Amino acid sequence: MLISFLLAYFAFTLLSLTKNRHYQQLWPGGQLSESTEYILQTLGWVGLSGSSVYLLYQKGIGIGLTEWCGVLSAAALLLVLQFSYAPRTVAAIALLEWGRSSSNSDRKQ
Amino acid sequence: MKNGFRQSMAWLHTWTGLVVGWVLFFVFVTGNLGRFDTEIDRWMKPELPAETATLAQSIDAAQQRLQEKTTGSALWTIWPATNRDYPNLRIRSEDYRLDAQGEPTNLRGNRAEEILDPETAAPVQTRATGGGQLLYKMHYALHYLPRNVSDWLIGICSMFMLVAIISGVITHKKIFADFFTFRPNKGQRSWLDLHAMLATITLPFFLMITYSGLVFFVLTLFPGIVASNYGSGEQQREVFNEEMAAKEFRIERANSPANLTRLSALADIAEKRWGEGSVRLIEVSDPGDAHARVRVVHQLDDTSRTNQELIFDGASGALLGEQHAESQARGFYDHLLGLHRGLFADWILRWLYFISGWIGAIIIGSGLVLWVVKRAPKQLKQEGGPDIGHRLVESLNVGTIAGLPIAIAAYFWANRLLPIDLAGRGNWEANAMFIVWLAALLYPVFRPIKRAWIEQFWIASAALLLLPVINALTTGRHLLHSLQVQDWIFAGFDLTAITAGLLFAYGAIKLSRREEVVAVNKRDKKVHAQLDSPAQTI
Amino acid sequence: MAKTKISNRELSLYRWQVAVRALLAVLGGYALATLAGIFLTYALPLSRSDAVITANLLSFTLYSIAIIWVFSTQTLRRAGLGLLLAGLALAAAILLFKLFGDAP
Repeated sequence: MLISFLLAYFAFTLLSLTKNRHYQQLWPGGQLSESTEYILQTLGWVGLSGSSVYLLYQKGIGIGLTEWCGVLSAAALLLVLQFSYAPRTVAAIALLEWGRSSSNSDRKQ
Repeated sequence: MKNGFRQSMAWLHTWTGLVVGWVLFFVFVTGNLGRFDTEIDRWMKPELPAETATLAQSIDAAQQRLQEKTTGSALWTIWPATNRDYPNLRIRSEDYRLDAQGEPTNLRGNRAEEILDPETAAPVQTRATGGGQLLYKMHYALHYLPRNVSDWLIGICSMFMLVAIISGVITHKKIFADFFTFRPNKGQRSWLDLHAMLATITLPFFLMITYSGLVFFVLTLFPGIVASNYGSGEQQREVFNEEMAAKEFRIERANSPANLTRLSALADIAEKRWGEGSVRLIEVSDPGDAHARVRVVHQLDDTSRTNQELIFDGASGALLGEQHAESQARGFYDHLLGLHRGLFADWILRWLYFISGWIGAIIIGSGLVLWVVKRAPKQLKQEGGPDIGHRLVESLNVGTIAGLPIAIAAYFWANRLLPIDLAGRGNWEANAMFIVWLAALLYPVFRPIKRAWIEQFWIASAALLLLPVINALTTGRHLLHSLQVQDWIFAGFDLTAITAGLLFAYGAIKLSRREEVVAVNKRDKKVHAQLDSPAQTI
Repeated sequence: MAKTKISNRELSLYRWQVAVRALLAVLGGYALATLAGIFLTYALPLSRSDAVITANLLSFTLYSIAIIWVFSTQTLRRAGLGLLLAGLALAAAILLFKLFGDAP
């Protein structure tokens, strides 16, 4: 469940960065290149799918789906609280993800 | 409606939500406490011992007690203390209902339940209390009302909620775009953010709990559908129930007595097959009859509310067969009901259910507050003050959102403070709760609304924070002691009460600060306005 | 002054329309959902009790769709007519099942 939670959390973080509003919260004035946005979005959806597949595989369809809904809510709630009250704590985690993808795509911008 | 689709949906969302919002808030809060019904039970019955008996010992004791106590029962149920839901050995007997001549019919009559001490086979004496079960029961049966009335009331409210959810999703389609947005301290904007954001992240839970909640009432709310196939009337309904349950190995009562086999031996066979600790309950239909049947049921290990079981002949003890298969329609129905109850949930999932439920209550509460906040500027400017309807909604909001927690705290206070030998003690706990709630509903009528919010938040905070103190004084099991002996039920209860109390205190402080800010702003504005041009004051 | 008077009359007309629409949605929608449920119990290729359960489970969905639809149509007349036609069609289908099928 923890693995699934972490996957969902990172996936939501990536997806939230594709939204301009949240991106600006972390890097004011910054602009996401289209290719980076595409990568983030794909990775985000892959992460979400991964977290569901993992739980379904571990716990079976009924309980797996139920737990996944709970995991999604909890992950999203944590992220919302971070964005509202302490955006920098998102940045710390997001930077790790971002650093990797930015090295090859953002330079071209 | 006269405007576009979205506007008409917004209208529908606002009004369906408002009309039943307070009842739904009550349903969500009490139902959500029901996620920990057993734990609350144990807190409210501090006399209950911790159980250590073996399965065989428990079942033997239960059988002995039931045989001494009952004759000609329709059904016995024995729940050994093998899981979270049944921390103590519990038994139940159900009688056949008698007709006018005193002959048993095939309908069910009275039920009696007891908690047993497996060592002595005697019932455990505890204080008379409704416990967590009563609180949990309130969320679908309310209180003081006959079941057929409350079924319809809750059914209709749930239907409103389903419509409110669907129309809400249509209205706030845009929220899916900024999923993670919550802008605190911005007045109406923040309330809307809170309402929409929480609803988005818990939408699957919210839809599931509403729809599956309705499923509990489906046969009551649409009687025509059953009646069209089976005819109306209680007997016909029973035919449908039998057909739906589709119990194999079912057999009519023989009306000739036969000794019931030793049940613990049957449980032993089941444990050998399934593994230790896997027996959830044992049911005996027509005990003492030659056609008695014993069902040994496995623990819940899936979302369905039904599970594997072994069926034995009650007289000979022979294994008749295994039953799990059910039709897809019936299976889907059972999964929906099982999902709603969430009895299968382990601790983590149980807490997730619990948190989602609170979020649900917050969504409803914030929706109600939003109704007021949105209309307040216009209403306050009105000559002669706000409309009576506006005042009513405001007061009901305070009395429900801040008042219900006080009332629930009062329920727990009553459990600890009412004299143990008071006649009708269990009822008086619930009475205390509803008297306090009534007071909390009336209170805001006589106070300025902003003050009423702050004061009731403080009262709720104090009532909850004092709960651990009262518990310590009356039972001696204070928080440090509970933590030391790792009594997670008492410790968890205390910690939850303290957390809730602190949250209400935080709310009260925040509201008073805001009121001060508003007062200062108003004064400044007045001064400025007077300085600039006296004519511009509103 | 004149303007507020007209809007007052408009307002009360509007309120009446809302009330009628609400009644139509709640009662008409309920009748329609029940009819649709009964129709489904006859039409579904399932055993009797399974068909009843399935139809019952769907009835809430049908009811909500009916309510949403009544509130979203342009005119009151259209909402009423729509409900009536759908209801008549279902009633006719149920009658056919009763006359020529094996429905109880």
